[in-house]
Amino acid sequence: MSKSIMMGALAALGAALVVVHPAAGATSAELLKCQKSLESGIRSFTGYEATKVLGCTEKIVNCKLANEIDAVDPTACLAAASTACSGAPTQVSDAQTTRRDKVVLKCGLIPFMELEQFVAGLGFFNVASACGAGDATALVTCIFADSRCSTEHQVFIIDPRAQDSLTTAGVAGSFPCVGP
Amino acid sequence: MKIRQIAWFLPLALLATSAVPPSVRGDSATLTNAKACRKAVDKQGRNYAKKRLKLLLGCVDKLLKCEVLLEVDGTNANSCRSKAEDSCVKTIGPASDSSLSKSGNIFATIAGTACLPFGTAAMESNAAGGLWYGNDGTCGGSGDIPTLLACLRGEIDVRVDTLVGEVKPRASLLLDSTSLGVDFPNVPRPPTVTVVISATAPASGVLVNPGTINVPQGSALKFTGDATTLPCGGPGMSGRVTITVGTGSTAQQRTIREPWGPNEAAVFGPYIVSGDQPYTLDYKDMSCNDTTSGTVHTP
Repeated sequence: MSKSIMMGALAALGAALVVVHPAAGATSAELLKCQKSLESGIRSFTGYEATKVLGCTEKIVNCKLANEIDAVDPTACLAAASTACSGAPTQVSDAQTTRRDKVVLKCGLIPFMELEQFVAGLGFFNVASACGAGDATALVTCIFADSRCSTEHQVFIIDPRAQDSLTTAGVAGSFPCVGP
Repeated sequence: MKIRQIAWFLPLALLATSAVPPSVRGDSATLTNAKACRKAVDKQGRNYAKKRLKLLLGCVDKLLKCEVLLEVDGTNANSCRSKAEDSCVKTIGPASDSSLSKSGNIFATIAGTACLPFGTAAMESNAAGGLWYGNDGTCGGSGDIPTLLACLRGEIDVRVDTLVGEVKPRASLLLDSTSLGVDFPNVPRPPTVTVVISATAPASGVLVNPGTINVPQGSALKFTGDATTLPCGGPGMSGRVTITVGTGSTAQQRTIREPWGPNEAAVFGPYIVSGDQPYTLDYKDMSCNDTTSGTVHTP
């Protein structure tokens, strides 16, 4: 078994344990670690997704522009680009899960009430209410899902042809927030 | 010898030319310009969004640390707050040399330069060969490239700032406690109940008791001062109201000062637990002194 698989298995086990056994009262260090971990995880994931999706759309749109402007046959170009894009949905989903689990490891240590409260807490009450989240795992999962959607909207702002490109590549269904 | 080399080279060169895919063989100037523009907006837009997220979260992190250390450990936050705000002003402040301003300028300059040869009309064209920015309901009608890019940047700002508020829900309150909050209106604010502290008549020096203040769960409580009745007369702007909510080690205290008005505010909470907490308003201005108290009720 590779080291990364071992680490993943340990992380998953740890996540399960910490969700079940949050501490009786979080220290300031635990609160700040949770918040920092969430920040790092979201930044890393959103950066990764933007790179993956825009990388895919760039390949497709370049084929289409060459066809539309220079009348170049796009068949081979689009086939190659679509193949390159085909792994993106799984890669992005895997990245989301991995990073989310790391955050749950840190934030699951903290009683949910302390994640929610604004004073001596992190203030997630309204976020948790909007998410319908009743524990740290559900809350973090929801925040990652929302960050993914936000990133996909940004992709569409940057590249208004992105939705069309992803449709051409056959992966638009995996990135439903790429749109207005 | 020379002729033999040419005899070998010529057919190979011809073969190589015919094997080169059309795109490598040479794009038209229009295609080259379209690709360059698209690539620049793509790369610079992504870099800008990433940088904005990093800078905002970084600033909020510094501000948050001061408050958590105070609230959990009782560590004095004054020096920490001051250092954190100085750092935030340098990174996300409105000055042209802040990190955030520079990042925005890089996006505008590099993407603007790259898109100039392709042109605004082609960028906004929704037809074949265009970049389809005309489909953008907000930015589509921009008349020139700098306006279009500034508009796109504004759209990115909204998305990023909203995300900041979800990842760090105390962000808006922390930013609002500094001079920077006004520059980030899209960081979501919690619902807020506002109480305007006033006197019974101009310069009366007698506070109106706000009575029981109802604050729903998840809402913050904001106090401001009434500019008409609170000034106590005389020169200077020395008036202040010190507000305390709660008791013991969990009590929060803030002071608002003259000049009174909506921009001078003290925010408490938001409160998430049902219950009652006492509050006290302690008013001082020249010869005027008064104290009043009541209850903050969260249903």
